[in-house]
Amino acid sequence: MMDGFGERGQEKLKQAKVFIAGAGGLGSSISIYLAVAGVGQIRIVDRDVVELSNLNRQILHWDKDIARGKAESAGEKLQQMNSDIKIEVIAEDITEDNILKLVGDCQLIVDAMDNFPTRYLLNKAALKRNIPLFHGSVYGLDGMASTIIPGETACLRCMFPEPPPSATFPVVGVTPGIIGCIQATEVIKHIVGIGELLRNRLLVWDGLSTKFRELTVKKDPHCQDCGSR
Amino acid sequence: MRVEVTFFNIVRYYAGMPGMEVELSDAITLGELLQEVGRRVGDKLPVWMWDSQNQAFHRGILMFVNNEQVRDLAHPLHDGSQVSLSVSLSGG
Repeated sequence: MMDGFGERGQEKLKQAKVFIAGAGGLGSSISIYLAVAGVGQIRIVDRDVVELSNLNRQILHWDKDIARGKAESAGEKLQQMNSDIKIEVIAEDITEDNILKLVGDCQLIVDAMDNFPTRYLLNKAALKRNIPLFHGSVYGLDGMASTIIPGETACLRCMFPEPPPSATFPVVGVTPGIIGCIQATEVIKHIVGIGELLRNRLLVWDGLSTKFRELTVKKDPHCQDCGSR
Repeated sequence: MRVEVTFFNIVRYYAGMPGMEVELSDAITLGELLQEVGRRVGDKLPVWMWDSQNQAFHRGILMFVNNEQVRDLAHPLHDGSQVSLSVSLSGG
């Protein structure tokens, strides 16, 4: 038995409703562990279709799924893993116009995207709804994760005021597995109410050296997204 | 004084090294250190990281001194300061 978890923690997971933006590399590992943990409702949004080049890391999608919608493919696997939970899949782009509707009454947002314009939309939605945002990102054998609590911690824009250029990026398949598991761990801890979250802490994974580093991030009083909060 | 510079992720890939030690005769600011780092490895960095015309790193470079985020280039450095440079990552 773990202190603070037990049946009450499991019940909290059952009652939880989470929004996962992206069913790719990060989204695969995050959603698998949240589904098998018993998170009661998982809404996962991705409008892409599965391509051969995805299969090294997007473990929810298999060879037979090539050319199939990622949302549908993810929903099928997750539901088979846990038939007692509700999986909602939405095959849409996330835009400024629809994001609040997509998030709906979910109590938190998980950032499993592959581009910064959409990550910034998730950040704004989390701030507007006053709900946590669980950030993760990867490149090659490197990754980062942090947990954003609106009004309390640095927001995504405070941490990353400028996006990297839009470009294709190499990802070794294990990297989103590692970072996605960290994000899922943060989500579970938040829902159950145990442990210390990555508040104002940017966890940096260096897979080449097999080292984690922890950096302290700070709220930016001039931040264009959260500066006045 | 001596300052240790660590390059994270994409910065390390382009710089071709995990970091460097910079020996200085006088106390300097973070901005002055970054100019020295740029002089040493700027030619290896893409234009979206290092602006060779203005001899400055772009705003998207994340700066940490002793593992704490710093936005002010006038931030003073001391003997033994550890400076880390990173960028945001897109991949998911």
